[in-house]
Amino acid sequence: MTMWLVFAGVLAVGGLGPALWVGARHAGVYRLVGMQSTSAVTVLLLVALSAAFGQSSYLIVPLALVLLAYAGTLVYTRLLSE
Amino acid sequence: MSARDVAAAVLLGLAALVVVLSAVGLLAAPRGLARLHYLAPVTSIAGPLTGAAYVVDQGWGISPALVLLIVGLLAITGPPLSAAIARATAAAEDLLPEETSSS
Repeated sequence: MTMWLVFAGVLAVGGLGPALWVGARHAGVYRLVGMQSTSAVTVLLLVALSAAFGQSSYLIVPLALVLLAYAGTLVYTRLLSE
Repeated sequence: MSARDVAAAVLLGLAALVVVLSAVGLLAAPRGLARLHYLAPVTSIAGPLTGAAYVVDQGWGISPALVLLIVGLLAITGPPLSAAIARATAAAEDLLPEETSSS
Protein backbone atom coordinates (compact mmCIF):
# COMPACT_ATOMS: atom_id res chain seq x y z
CA MET A 1 0.00 0.00 0.00
CA THR A 2 1.50 3.29 -1.08
CA MET A 3 1.53 6.45 0.99
CA TRP A 4 -0.82 8.04 -1.54
CA LEU A 5 -3.39 5.32 -0.96
CA VAL A 6 -3.11 5.82 2.80
CA PHE A 7 -3.49 9.56 2.28
CA ALA A 8 -6.58 8.98 0.13
CA GLY A 9 -8.08 6.75 2.79
CA VAL A 10 -7.48 9.33 5.51
CA LEU A 11 -9.08 12.02 3.35
CA ALA A 12 -12.07 9.84 2.55
CA VAL A 13 -12.75 8.92 6.17
CA GLY A 14 -11.47 11.90 8.12
CA GLY A 15 -12.25 14.67 5.65
CA LEU A 16 -14.97 13.63 3.24
CA GLY A 17 -17.16 11.92 5.82
CA PRO A 18 -17.55 14.92 8.15
CA ALA A 19 -17.97 17.27 5.17
CA LEU A 20 -20.82 15.14 3.81
CA TRP A 21 -22.36 15.03 7.28
CA VAL A 22 -22.29 18.83 7.57
CA GLY A 23 -23.65 19.14 4.06
CA ALA A 24 -26.61 16.93 4.82
CA ARG A 25 -27.99 18.70 7.90
CA HIS A 26 -29.93 21.89 8.64
CA ALA A 27 -31.48 24.29 6.14
CA GLY A 28 -30.18 24.80 2.60
CA VAL A 29 -27.93 27.79 3.17
CA TYR A 30 -26.16 26.08 6.08
CA ARG A 31 -25.34 23.11 3.86
CA LEU A 32 -23.19 25.26 1.57
CA VAL A 33 -20.25 25.01 3.97
CA GLY A 34 -20.42 21.24 3.80
CA MET A 35 -20.70 21.33 0.03
CA GLN A 36 -17.66 23.57 -0.30
CA SER A 37 -15.67 21.41 2.10
CA THR A 38 -16.75 18.28 0.21
CA SER A 39 -15.58 19.79 -3.08
CA ALA A 40 -12.17 20.81 -1.72
CA VAL A 41 -11.50 17.46 -0.05
CA THR A 42 -12.69 15.55 -3.13
CA VAL A 43 -10.26 17.47 -5.34
CA LEU A 44 -7.36 16.45 -3.09
CA LEU A 45 -8.71 12.90 -2.87
CA LEU A 46 -8.80 12.56 -6.66
CA VAL A 47 -5.25 13.90 -6.96
CA ALA A 48 -4.15 11.34 -4.37
CA LEU A 49 -5.91 8.49 -6.20
CA SER A 50 -4.30 9.57 -9.47
CA ALA A 51 -0.88 9.38 -7.83
CA ALA A 52 -1.70 6.11 -6.06
CA PHE A 53 -2.70 4.36 -9.29
CA GLY A 54 0.06 5.99 -11.35
CA GLN A 55 -2.42 7.32 -13.90
CA SER A 56 -1.67 10.97 -14.61
CA SER A 57 -4.55 11.11 -17.11
CA TYR A 58 -6.93 10.90 -14.15
CA LEU A 59 -5.85 14.43 -13.17
CA ILE A 60 -8.31 15.90 -15.66
CA VAL A 61 -11.11 14.96 -13.25
CA PRO A 62 -9.97 17.09 -10.26
CA LEU A 63 -9.06 19.89 -12.69
CA ALA A 64 -12.61 19.89 -14.05
CA LEU A 65 -14.06 19.52 -10.55
CA VAL A 66 -12.24 22.51 -9.08
CA LEU A 67 -13.58 24.73 -11.85
CA LEU A 68 -17.12 23.34 -11.83
CA ALA A 69 -17.29 23.43 -8.02
CA TYR A 70 -16.39 27.11 -8.08
CA ALA A 71 -19.16 27.99 -10.53
CA GLY A 72 -21.64 25.59 -8.96
CA THR A 73 -21.16 26.87 -5.42
CA LEU A 74 -21.59 30.46 -6.61
CA VAL A 75 -24.84 29.48 -8.33
CA TYR A 76 -26.10 27.81 -5.15
CA THR A 77 -25.22 30.82 -2.99
CA ARG A 78 -27.12 33.05 -5.40
CA LEU A 79 -30.18 30.81 -5.52
CA LEU A 80 -30.33 30.13 -1.79
CA SER A 81 -29.93 33.78 -0.79
CA GLU A 82 -32.95 34.90 -2.85
CA MET B 1 13.20 4.64 1.68
CA SER B 2 14.99 7.63 0.20
CA ALA B 3 15.05 11.16 1.54
CA ARG B 4 12.65 12.16 -1.23
CA ASP B 5 10.12 9.55 -0.06
CA VAL B 6 10.44 10.71 3.53
CA ALA B 7 9.91 14.34 2.52
CA ALA B 8 6.84 13.44 0.47
CA ALA B 9 5.45 11.35 3.33
CA VAL B 10 5.96 14.20 5.80
CA LEU B 11 4.20 16.65 3.48
CA LEU B 12 1.32 14.25 2.94
CA GLY B 13 1.07 13.61 6.67
CA LEU B 14 0.86 17.33 7.37
CA ALA B 15 -1.80 17.75 4.66
CA ALA B 16 -3.83 14.88 6.11
CA LEU B 17 -3.51 16.37 9.60
CA VAL B 18 -4.78 19.74 8.38
CA VAL B 19 -7.75 18.15 6.61
CA VAL B 20 -8.71 16.01 9.61
CA LEU B 21 -8.37 18.90 12.10
CA SER B 22 -10.45 21.11 9.82
CA ALA B 23 -13.10 18.41 9.62
CA VAL B 24 -13.16 18.10 13.41
CA GLY B 25 -13.51 21.87 13.72
CA LEU B 26 -16.27 21.82 11.11
CA LEU B 27 -18.20 19.28 13.16
CA ALA B 28 -17.56 21.01 16.48
CA ALA B 29 -18.41 24.55 15.40
CA PRO B 30 -21.99 25.79 15.64
CA ARG B 31 -23.82 26.09 12.35
CA GLY B 32 -23.57 29.38 10.49
CA LEU B 33 -20.69 31.76 10.00
CA ALA B 34 -18.36 30.09 12.53
CA ARG B 35 -17.99 27.03 10.30
CA LEU B 36 -16.55 29.10 7.47
CA HIS B 37 -13.24 29.39 9.34
CA TYR B 38 -12.58 25.71 8.79
CA LEU B 39 -12.74 25.84 5.00
CA ALA B 40 -9.61 27.92 4.47
CA PRO B 41 -7.05 25.46 5.93
CA VAL B 42 -8.10 22.78 3.43
CA THR B 43 -7.85 25.01 0.37
CA SER B 44 -4.93 27.21 1.45
CA ILE B 45 -2.70 24.80 3.41
CA ALA B 46 -3.60 21.17 2.71
CA GLY B 47 -3.89 21.78 -1.04
CA PRO B 48 -0.43 23.32 -1.51
CA LEU B 49 1.08 20.69 0.82
CA THR B 50 -0.44 17.96 -1.36
CA GLY B 51 0.91 19.64 -4.49
CA ALA B 52 4.36 19.94 -2.94
CA ALA B 53 4.26 16.27 -1.96
CA TYR B 54 3.35 15.32 -5.52
CA VAL B 55 6.23 17.35 -6.94
CA VAL B 56 8.69 15.90 -4.43
CA ASP B 57 7.45 12.36 -5.10
CA GLN B 58 7.18 12.49 -8.90
CA GLY B 59 9.77 15.12 -9.83
CA TRP B 60 9.23 17.89 -12.37
CA GLY B 61 7.08 17.32 -15.43
CA ILE B 62 3.68 17.90 -16.99
CA SER B 63 1.75 15.97 -14.35
CA PRO B 64 3.24 17.82 -11.34
CA ALA B 65 2.62 21.09 -13.18
CA LEU B 66 -1.02 20.07 -13.65
CA VAL B 67 -1.29 19.20 -9.95
CA LEU B 68 0.19 22.58 -9.03
CA LEU B 69 -2.38 24.21 -11.31
CA ILE B 70 -5.17 22.27 -9.59
CA VAL B 71 -4.09 23.14 -6.04
CA GLY B 72 -3.41 26.72 -7.15
CA LEU B 73 -6.94 27.03 -8.50
CA LEU B 74 -8.23 25.46 -5.29
CA ALA B 75 -6.36 28.05 -3.20
CA ILE B 76 -7.45 30.95 -5.41
CA THR B 77 -11.13 30.01 -5.59
CA GLY B 78 -11.47 29.20 -1.89
CA PRO B 79 -11.67 32.75 -0.43
CA PRO B 80 -14.26 34.08 -2.92
CA LEU B 81 -16.43 31.05 -2.28
CA SER B 82 -16.13 31.53 1.48
CA ALA B 83 -17.11 35.18 1.06
CA ALA B 84 -20.11 34.24 -1.09
CA ILE B 85 -21.24 31.60 1.42
CA ALA B 86 -20.75 34.06 4.28
CA ARG B 87 -22.92 36.60 2.48
CA ALA B 88 -25.65 34.05 1.81
CA THR B 89 -25.54 32.89 5.45
CA ALA B 90 -25.62 36.45 6.74
CA ALA B 91 -28.60 37.22 4.50
CA ALA B 92 -30.42 34.16 5.83
CA GLU B 93 -29.81 35.29 9.41
CA ASP B 94 -30.75 38.94 8.66
CA LEU B 95 -27.27 40.15 9.56
CA LEU B 96 -26.77 42.29 6.44
CA PRO B 97 -27.36 46.04 6.51
CA GLU B 98 -30.65 47.08 4.91
CA GLU B 99 -29.12 48.77 1.85
CA THR B 100 -27.05 45.71 0.85
CA SER B 101 -29.48 42.90 1.68
CA SER B 102 -31.30 43.04 -1.67
CA SER B 103 -28.23 42.96 -3.97
